[in-house]
Order: sequence, then structure tokens, then C-alpha cells
Amino acid sequence: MRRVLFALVLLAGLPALAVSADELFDRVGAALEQGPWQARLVGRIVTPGGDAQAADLIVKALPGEGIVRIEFLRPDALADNYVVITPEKVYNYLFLTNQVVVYPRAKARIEGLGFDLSRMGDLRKLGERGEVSWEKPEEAAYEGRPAWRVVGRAADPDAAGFARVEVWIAREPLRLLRTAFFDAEGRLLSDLKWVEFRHVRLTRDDLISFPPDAEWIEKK
Amino acid sequence: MKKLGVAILLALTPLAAAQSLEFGLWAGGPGFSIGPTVNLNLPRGDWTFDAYLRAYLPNTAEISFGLGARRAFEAGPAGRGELGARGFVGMDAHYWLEAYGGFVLGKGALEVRGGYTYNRTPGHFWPLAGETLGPYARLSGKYRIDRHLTLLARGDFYRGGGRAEAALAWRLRRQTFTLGAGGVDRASNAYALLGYKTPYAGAVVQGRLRLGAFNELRLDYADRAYKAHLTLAYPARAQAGVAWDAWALDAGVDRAGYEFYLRYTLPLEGL
Repeated sequence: MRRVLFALVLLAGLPALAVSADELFDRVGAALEQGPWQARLVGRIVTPGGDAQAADLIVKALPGEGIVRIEFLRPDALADNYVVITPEKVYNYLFLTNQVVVYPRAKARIEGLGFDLSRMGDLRKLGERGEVSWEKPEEAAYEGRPAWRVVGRAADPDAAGFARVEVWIAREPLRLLRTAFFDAEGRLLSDLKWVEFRHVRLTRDDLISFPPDAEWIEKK
Repeated sequence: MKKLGVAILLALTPLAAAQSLEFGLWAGGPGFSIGPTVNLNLPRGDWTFDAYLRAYLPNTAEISFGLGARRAFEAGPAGRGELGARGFVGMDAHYWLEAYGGFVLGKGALEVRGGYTYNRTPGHFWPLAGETLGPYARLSGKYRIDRHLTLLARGDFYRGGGRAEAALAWRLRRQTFTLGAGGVDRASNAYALLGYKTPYAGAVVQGRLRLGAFNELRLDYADRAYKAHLTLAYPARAQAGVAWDAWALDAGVDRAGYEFYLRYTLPLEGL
């Protein structure tokens, strides 16, 4: 289940877990594990080409089975594409060509969003290896709500792909509110807000479903 | 004897890493010919290699061998690309070469395929591969104008002929309507294209009708277990196919003859 949380954390732009923020992130994770849920993430991401684009994603998760489905509504270039992450495989659906590309989870390469989802398994290690150092969470207000704000700094921005990350976490109920990445010059790389979070009824078939006429491409 | 054993082991080495082995049985005419086929598929990271063998009975001089390689470029949800080439050579020294390139990135997709056959059609080297002679090129492009509208274009060009068409696909909720026009050889030989695609009872059903200088009705059906298609065209031509599990069967008939092609894909996953 922790992998699922890591995936979500990365999706929102959270790159690492460090000692000072560990407990906080674990509590957020525990809250997410309570049952199937759905959230909408809106904000901006910077594409690999350097363009900042509006982003609108729907994330559906089945924590008990470690399955996450990420549906893209915006930017237009990604609209109707989606990614399904399971403990064994990653399924990448491309709407325009009606193709499902399937990767073994260990070899998944889900870049193309301005960050690389394939590093999801290394998130905790990033902090442990000192690639990102987390400052002590500080109490803050986020849109009028009591929140925690956690700042992380990448030891090697070139390797990490960012220099600084900021995470806002609601204090009650404990859940992610916003994550933002910045480069070494302080320019925003991605900024995603978690909105419309709710626990819902979801099944494995709801998440691992694809158009029946899609072409399947299996990567080994 | 030991040398022979080593040689056999070496020959079987690719099998140990292969992902699948497809066995096919083609039969067709005019007259009656049988052509068993074998396709060994060998993925290696972003590379995929294929080896082909097509026997041909009773005329064994027309047996052909082929090799292919493809390189994929993955970009996650943003898209992917693929470049590849394959070549076949027959026992009678005829050959077929083909190169392929395709990518989808964001709102656009383009696929280009070009090749050359010497004296025999691609379909002679591999079933269902086409019936042109000499050089040929096929292009297909898609561009999403927005979430509802997609521009489609395609062209088939070969020695002595060609066909090009453009269409607009309009997605309304879960249904897609397509309207377009095309031309055979030249624009004055025009035809219209109408298409409709909808989900139905857990399946996807699609119909495309081309009317005018080119007349064809194609129906597609797909659910979780089966994929099937039926094409009826005038001048008289009919094709049908169905795929289920590891099996696929295609059949076609036109004024030049008929063919059946049954195949089974054996997953190896590394023996």
C-alpha cells in the first residue's frame, strides 16, 4: 500500500520523505489507506518542452489492493489518457491511438509530465540518501485552514529535476492540500492542489478497465 | 553428435528469450495452396526482433524468410514512438523490404510505412500484408483539435494508383461520428466517408461506410473476449476476421481468389 501512497505523493509533487517530516507523511498515508477514494488535482505543470500548462487530473485509489488510476482531463495534450498503477504492472492508455502500453512495475517509465513517476519506489530512499532534505514542518494557514507546511530542498537540483518543493497538509482531517515544485531560480515547475477529495466505492474492475477495442502493447 | 547437440542448442537460444511464437496456417487460391507460417517475437527492452518463416506448398520455391527489428520510444502518458524495418527474401530470390515509423505525442499522431517488393506482393511473403507491386507508401495522421474533434487523414500510394482521404471525427459523450471525403488516384474520383462508433453492452461497435469512387462497408466489434471485423466492398470483395484469446482467423475473397489464415500465438515468456 505504501507504493500507492508514494505514487500519489509523487503525482502531487512530493519528492521525498525525511526524518523530520516522516511522521507527518506516515499519518497522511494512514489516512489515505482507510478505504477507496477519489480526488481531483488541479494546477499547473511544466511539460518536458518547458511550457507551463494547466493540469486537471482525477486520481482514484484502491488502497487495499495497491491500485491507483490517474485520469487526465487537462492539459489538452493529455486529455483522456490515463495511467493505472498496480503492484505488478503499470498500464498507460493513449486515447489518440487507442493503445494500452503495459510495463512491469519495476521497469515502468511514466515520464512526460515534468516529473517521472517511475521514481515512485525511490521516494523514501531519496530522503534517506540525502537527495532531498526536509525542514521541520511548520504550522501555517492554507486558504484559511490550519495546515502544515513542509519544505524540502534537493541536494542536487540537476539530478532531482527540481531545487525546492513545498507541501501543504491540512491538520484536520489530515490530508494533502497542495504541492509545488520550484527550480534553482525559484521558478514554478508544478503546482497541484488536491480538491474534491472523498471516499467512494471502487472495485478493482473499476480501476483496471480499458476500451475493449484498444490495441495492447506488452513491454518486458 | 555432440557438435550437433550444441548447434541445436544454439539454434534454440532465441526461443529461450522469446516472448511469443505464432504459428499460422494460410490457405488460398486461385487453385489451392497452403502456406504454414511461423513468427518468433523477441523483445529486448525497447527493441523487438522478429523472425518469420513462410512455407509454401506445393510450390516450395516460394518459401520465404524474414527478419524485423523495431525500436520503441516511450514518453508515458504523453505518448510513444516506434521505428522499425523488416525484410523478406524468398527461395526464388524475390524480396520485400519495409520500413515503419510512428509516433503519438500529445495532440498529434503520425504513422508512415513504406516499402518495396520485387516481383511478388507483400501478401505473398506474409499473409494479409497487401497486394501491391513495387514501391508503396502508407501514411496515417491524427490531430486532436479539442476533446471532441479529431482530424484524421490517410493516404495509400503504390505503383499505378493511390488513395487519399481526410475526415473529422466528432466525439459526443461516448459516441463518435465521423464525416470525411477521399479520392482515388485523383480528386475527381471522389468518395464520401461516414463513420459511427459507440459502446454497446460492454463492447465497442464501429461502422465505416465509404461511398462513391470507392465503395466499402466495414464493421468492427470488440468486447473483452472477442474482436471481429467484416468488410464488404464493391467491386466485389469481402473480408472477415475474428480474434479470441491466442487465436485469430481471417478470411477474404475477391475476384482474384480467396484466402484463409488461422493463427495461434504461443506465449513463451522465456522457456
